[in-house]
Amino acid sequence: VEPSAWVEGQARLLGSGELRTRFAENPQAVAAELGEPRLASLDPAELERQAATLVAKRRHEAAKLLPRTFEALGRDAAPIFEEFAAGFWPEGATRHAQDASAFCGWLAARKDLRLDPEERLRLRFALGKQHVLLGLVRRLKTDRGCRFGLLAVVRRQGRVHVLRIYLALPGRATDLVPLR
Amino acid sequence: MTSLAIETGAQAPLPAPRSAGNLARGPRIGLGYRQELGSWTLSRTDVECLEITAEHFFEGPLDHLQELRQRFPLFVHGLGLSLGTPGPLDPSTLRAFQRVVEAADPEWISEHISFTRSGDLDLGHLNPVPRTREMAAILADHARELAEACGKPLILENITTHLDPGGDMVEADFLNLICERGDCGLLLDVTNLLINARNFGYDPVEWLSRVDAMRIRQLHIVGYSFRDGRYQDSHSAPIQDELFDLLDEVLRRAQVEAVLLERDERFEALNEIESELARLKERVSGGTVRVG
Repeated sequence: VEPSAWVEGQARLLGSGELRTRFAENPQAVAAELGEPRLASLDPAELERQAATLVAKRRHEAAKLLPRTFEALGRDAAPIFEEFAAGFWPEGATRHAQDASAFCGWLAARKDLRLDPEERLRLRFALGKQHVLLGLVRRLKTDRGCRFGLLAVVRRQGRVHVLRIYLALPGRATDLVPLR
Repeated sequence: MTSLAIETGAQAPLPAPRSAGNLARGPRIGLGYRQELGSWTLSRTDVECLEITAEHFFEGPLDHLQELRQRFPLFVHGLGLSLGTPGPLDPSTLRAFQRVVEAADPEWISEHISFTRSGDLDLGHLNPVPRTREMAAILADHARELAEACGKPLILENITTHLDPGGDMVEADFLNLICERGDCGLLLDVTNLLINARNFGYDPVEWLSRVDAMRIRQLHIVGYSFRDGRYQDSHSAPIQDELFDLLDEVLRRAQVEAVLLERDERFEALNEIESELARLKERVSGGTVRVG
């Protein structure tokens, strides 16, 4: 086994559903294409299971950062995240936040209204370097339903805080939500 | 091809076994530190050591580590150095890891026998490598490089996987070879061993009898879950009795220094975590376990 070609080939197989589908049909051809013929000895079913585990771990971490969005997605969360995850791989120490943020962008591009705009804004801020971010949110989720609101996100002593100002009837309400 | 030749360097030696008196009291019981349990952990008297996940401290201030190291003996655990990727270690990840080690001043550091990235593709989680002498050499070289860069003893962990990458030798021999060539210890994840044994159909005790017990310094343990006909390492379940039995087997063979409960989920179940710590303490002390 040539280690570099093996690891690179195995990584590509785990990272691409299209490649795994072709591998299951013709392992020898795909292994040769990947530059390490002995990759053909891998079990396609085991590869699928390992790849599914990688995506499930990503989804699990994204769900921790986007609890309201995932709750709204319900049973659709797994297949929708899987579809998103096939086209994007985050990297580095902030990979989970990058992943969740990219998932928000992907949902927004599909105009999926189950995306929680506040969670998206908080994540974008957490990944950035700025100290203050103001954002108008058309569907700010409140205990009085969705409202048009203003979010002010502030970084103070390394922690992120969110000030939510939204219109309610009657009057105006605010609350301060610390973010881990 | 990477050579298997061993060069002597400035690597810190394996942690010396504790004194006979300390060992007689059994391994220390600890927790994988999670920020969700921060204040609760600091208040505990039954937590004797903590394992810090290096990546959790890559971004942001390290002040908290100073507070933790004053309260507990620490170990620093890495997830993303990808020791199984051929070629040089990623310099920015290595620098970030070193920074955490400097702040935590741990007794030892640990990483996994696996790869997480290749080229531009960061898979983000642990994947198995083929069990060959060439791969063992790459892992051993990286282990030495990491230990030398950090000036700390290194122990390596067995992973759980759903993919058998094959190779020239069984996993236990592969681990022995890496530890010998890399002059490092073994962090034996008891749960990973049981999960792999169940999913791939082998006897975990036989596996254990083949591993060089003198290398085992630390253990990880947490309950497994069972889904879709497969055992899974969800890091969320209470420790099952068969895991306690396997833990006993390990403790009979190795002079373990620390046993770490590795919970990543269901932090709200504090009573359950307290009970797990108590059960582990009883078990490593040779006492009987009260169930429930």
